[in-house]
Amino acid sequence: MADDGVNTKVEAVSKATTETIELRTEDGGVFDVDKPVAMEFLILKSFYEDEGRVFDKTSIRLPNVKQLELSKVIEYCTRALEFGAKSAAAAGDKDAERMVRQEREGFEAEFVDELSNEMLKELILAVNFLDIKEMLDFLIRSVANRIRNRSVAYVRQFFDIENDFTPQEEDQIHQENAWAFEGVDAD
Amino acid sequence: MSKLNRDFPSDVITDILCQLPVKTLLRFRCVSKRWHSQIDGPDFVQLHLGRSLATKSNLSLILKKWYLYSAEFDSLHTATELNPPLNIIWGLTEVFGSCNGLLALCNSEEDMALWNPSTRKYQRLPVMLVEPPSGDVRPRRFTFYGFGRDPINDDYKVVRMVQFVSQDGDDGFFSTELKVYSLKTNSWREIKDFPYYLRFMFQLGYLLFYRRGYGVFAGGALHWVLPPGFGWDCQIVAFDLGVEEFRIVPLPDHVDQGFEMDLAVLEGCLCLLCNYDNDYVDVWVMEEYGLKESWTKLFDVSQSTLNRAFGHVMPLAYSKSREKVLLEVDRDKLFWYDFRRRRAKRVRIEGAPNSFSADIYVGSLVPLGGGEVDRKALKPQKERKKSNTKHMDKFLSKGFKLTL
Repeated sequence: MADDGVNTKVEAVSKATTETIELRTEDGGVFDVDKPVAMEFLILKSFYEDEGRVFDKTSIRLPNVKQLELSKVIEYCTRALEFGAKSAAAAGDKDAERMVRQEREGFEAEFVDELSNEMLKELILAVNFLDIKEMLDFLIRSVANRIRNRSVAYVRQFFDIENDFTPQEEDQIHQENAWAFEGVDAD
Repeated sequence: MSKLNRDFPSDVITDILCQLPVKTLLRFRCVSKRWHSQIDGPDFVQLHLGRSLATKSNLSLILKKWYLYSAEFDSLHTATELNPPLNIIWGLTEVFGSCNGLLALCNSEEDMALWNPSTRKYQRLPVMLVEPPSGDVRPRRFTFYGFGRDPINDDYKVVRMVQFVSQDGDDGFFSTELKVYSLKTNSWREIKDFPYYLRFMFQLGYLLFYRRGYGVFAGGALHWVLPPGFGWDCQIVAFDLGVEEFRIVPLPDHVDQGFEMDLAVLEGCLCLLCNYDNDYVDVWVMEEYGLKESWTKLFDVSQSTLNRAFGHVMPLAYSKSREKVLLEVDRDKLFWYDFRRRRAKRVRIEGAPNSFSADIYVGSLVPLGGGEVDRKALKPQKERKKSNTKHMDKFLSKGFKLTL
C-alpha cells in the first residue's frame, strides 16, 4: 500500500528496555508497539506462538485496521495493562482497590465520551479483528449504554439496518408493547 | 459520515442486546425482522436472563405492603408503585414467589396469576377449587404456596397445598389437598401420594408468622419448614418440581439445637436461618444443593450487630462485590450487612411503605401467554387506603387464614 507520507511512530509505555513490534496499518501508519501491549492482541499473540519463532523486530501489516483506530486501541490497552498492574499491587487493600477501580472508570468514561458513533463502530470492528477480549467487552458495554434509551430509528441508523417491515407490520409490533416507546430520548 | 462497508458481526450484536434492559428490547423488536425474531427467540431469552443473573443487572426489590412497589437493586433509592394484573382486592394480593422474572400472585386460593412486570404480560391461572374433606365438622385449614421453575421439563409450576385439621386437634382427623399447576400445559393436576410427615407442617404457633407458608425455591425444589414436634427437631421439607415428590433435606452436622428455623435463598442457594431466642441468628448456606457437607455458616447477626432488638431476619441478596448481604429485618427494615466489618447499615428507600415483605426480582423476557395489563383500568383506588390502614395494622398475618 502506498505510503501517503504519514509516518507515525508511537512509543507506548516508556520502559527503556521494552521490546517493540512494528505494526503497519492499511492506510500507511507505522506504530512501534511495546510487546506486552501487542500481545494483548490475540491475533498477534497466536501468530508468535504458533510460528514458535524467536521474537525479532518484524514488521506486521494489519489489513483491516486504520491508524486512527490503532492509536486508540494502543492507548486503551496500554492503560488497561497499567490498571491491571495497579490492581494487583493493591490486592488485599480494599480502599486502594476501590481507588484503582474508580480511576479506571474515570478513564473509560472519558475515553468513550470522545468517540463518535462511527468511531465506536470502527473500533469494535478493529478490536474484533485483533481479538482483544477485554477491550471488546468494554466497547460492547459502551454501545449498550449509548443506545439503551434510544428510538428504533436511531438504532437502525447506528447499525446501518434496513427496515424490512411493512408499515402495518411495524405498527402491529409497536402496539404489542406501546408503553415501551414512552420516555425515549429525542433523536 | 461513511457507511459501514463491513457487516457488524452477529455475535457482537447479540452481546450488545444481552446487556439491554427488557423495556429497550421490547422496543427494538421493531428494528428489523431479524432483531424481532432474535429478541423473541427462547435462546436469547435464556441468554439475557443468564447474563442478568451472572452480572446482577436488571435486579429489583419487590416490596409489598397494601400495594406492590419495586426499587432498583443498584441504587435502592426510590420505590415506585406497580400495577399488578389481578383485580386489586385492596391489600390482599400476595406475592408468594419470584423466579426468573415471573412473580406469582394470589388474591385467594382460587384466584392466582403469574405476572412478568418487565414485559407487563400475565397469565391468570385456571380456577381450581379447594375441596374440603367431607363431614359435618368444619376443620381448621392452612394453605401452603410455592412457585418455581422445573428445570427438567423447562416449565414453571405453582404448588398449592391445603391442610385440614379437625377443631379438636387431638382426635387425629387430618387431610391434605395437594395440587400443582404447570404453565406449559396451563393446567392443574392433583397429587394424592405424599409422605405422612407433611401433616406436622401445620403448626399454628409456627405459621402465625407472615409468609412462612410460602415455599422457598432452590435447586429445582420448593422448601418449607417442618417445625419441631414430639420426637424430632425441625426439618427441611422439599418438593421437587421435576419429579413432583417430597423429600427431607439434611441439616448441617454441627448446628446447635434450640433454634427457630426459617428458610431463605441467596443467589439460588438454600439458606437456613437459626434464630436463637431472638438473641442472635446464624445464617447457613448450602453451597451445593443436596450435599450435606456443603452447608457453610455464612455469618451471624446479633442485637449488637443491628443496634437493636429484633425478631426475624431474612437475607435477600449479596451486593455486586459480594462483600455485603441485604437483610430484611422484622418485615420493616432493610440493612446492608458487611461481612468483613461485621457491621450492618440501615437502608432507607424513598417512597417505600413503612413495613413490607421483600422479594428479589430479575427483569427478564420470559414469556407468558394471555393477557396484558391495562395501566389505566387497574389503577388502585388510593382513597380507600387511609380508612383501612389502621384496621389492618392489627391483623396478625396475611398468609394465615383461620377457618373456624
